[in-house]
Amino acid sequence: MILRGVDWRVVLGGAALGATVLLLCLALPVEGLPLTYVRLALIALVGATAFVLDEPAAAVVDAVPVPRRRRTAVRLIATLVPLGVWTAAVLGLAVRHPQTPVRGLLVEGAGALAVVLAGAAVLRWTGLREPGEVTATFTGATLLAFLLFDPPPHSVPVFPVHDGWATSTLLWAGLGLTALIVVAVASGDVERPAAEALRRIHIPRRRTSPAPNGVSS
Amino acid sequence: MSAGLLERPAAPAQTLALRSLAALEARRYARSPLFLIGVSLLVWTTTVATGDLAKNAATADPGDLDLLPAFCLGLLGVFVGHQLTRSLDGADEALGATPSDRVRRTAALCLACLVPGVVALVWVGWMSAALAMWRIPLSASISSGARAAMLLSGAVCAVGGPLFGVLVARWTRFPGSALVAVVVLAGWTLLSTVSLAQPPSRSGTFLHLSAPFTAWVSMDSPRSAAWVAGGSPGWYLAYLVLLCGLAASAALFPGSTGPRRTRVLRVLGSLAVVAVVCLVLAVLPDPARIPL
Repeated sequence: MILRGVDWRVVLGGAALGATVLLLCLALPVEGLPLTYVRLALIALVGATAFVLDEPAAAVVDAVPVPRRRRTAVRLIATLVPLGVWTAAVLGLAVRHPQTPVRGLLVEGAGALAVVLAGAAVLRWTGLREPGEVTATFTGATLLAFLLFDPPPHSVPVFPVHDGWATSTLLWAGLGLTALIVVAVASGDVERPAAEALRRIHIPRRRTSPAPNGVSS
Repeated sequence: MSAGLLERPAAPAQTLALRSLAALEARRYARSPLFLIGVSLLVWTTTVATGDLAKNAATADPGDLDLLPAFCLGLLGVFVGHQLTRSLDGADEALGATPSDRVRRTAALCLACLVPGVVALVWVGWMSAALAMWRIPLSASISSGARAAMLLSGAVCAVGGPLFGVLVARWTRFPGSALVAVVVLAGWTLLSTVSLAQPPSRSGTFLHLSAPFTAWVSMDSPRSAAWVAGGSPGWYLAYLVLLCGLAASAALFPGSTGPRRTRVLRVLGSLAVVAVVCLVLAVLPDPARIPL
């Protein structure tokens, strides 16, 4: 039921855009590994993942209130779509270009997807029911800035090209693990679900005094 | 140009309304967090890049720094233009009864996109002053006019990005369309660089210059000498200005009706034809690459 609440148009649309760019990377007649294009596709997949935690109608999707942590756990299934696209593309690249750093790219992709999920989870925790647009904008812009400018320190490259794959993999693994912890923490309900549900129930009170027109309700 | 597309009767009152709306939108644009982040990023990257110019004179040219305003104000501006346009959608019902219709509000938004353009022009002025002040060695392969056109291309991109954001917000309804637009723009630009890896040719130059942003200085490998790509930076600048006009006109199209729609269509067609002519003129010069 909860998975029905996911905006599949956006998740599948973003994943399709990423998949298209990745297919072009596989088809392009270039000598080396087209890493810039591959990372551009990752940004599209990150954008798709940002919308997984959007829940505009969280209260009415299920008849019985479901704790936020459980809703998040079920919604994480949707992230398998962009993650699957990324994994398949990296494996495809490894077949086409044997020098592809498979482990580095897989960890990089998983780490980036985890980071965007963490951003969305934190924004949702602050009360924003649809954090997807804001998270996608800021994470996408930040990743694009790193991709185009390659800012220092170059000892720990965010998007390595020739050297620094080992440190970059460590960086993304650390970021990914931290992000998953953040997702878990930020997915807790702010108040106890039972108390919150009780507070929201409106019980009409029986009037004891007669109404002005003399008819008691 | 946007003002010219509006209805002709009672022009002074409508122009006044458009001016006040544009001023309001310009203030909203200038206060947008992403625009302020972009300006800060532009200041920081310019400081770093200006310091590196003297050191990297053999492999880079100041004309190639147009990437800075193009990214910091243009590409980030896609999000700003998109967000400002979408934020007005909720008020459609309330504003429907007022004299400010949808087309005029879009025109005001398009005029507000000149805010990053003004910042980018200040940046061009600063770059010119810095080059003169610190006597940074400049390559003789690029004429001063061509270098000015390259730098001004960055300023035009700073306006074009937000205009594209407004256009996308007016034509699409799905969430995340701004990021899709940014990925498409970046992808188009990156795809155009594929031609730089091939031997020089007119078709390669056409592919290179058809993108909404281009890098002029490149090299075959990190250890080889740098060269300047073929083509005319001046005509490419004109092509970019026309792309901006196309984006603004296309953004005005969805809400327009009757004779206004016909006029917008006519402007769109004329701009498209002139843009193609400018692109052809930009590609016409010798495609041979000149060592920097």
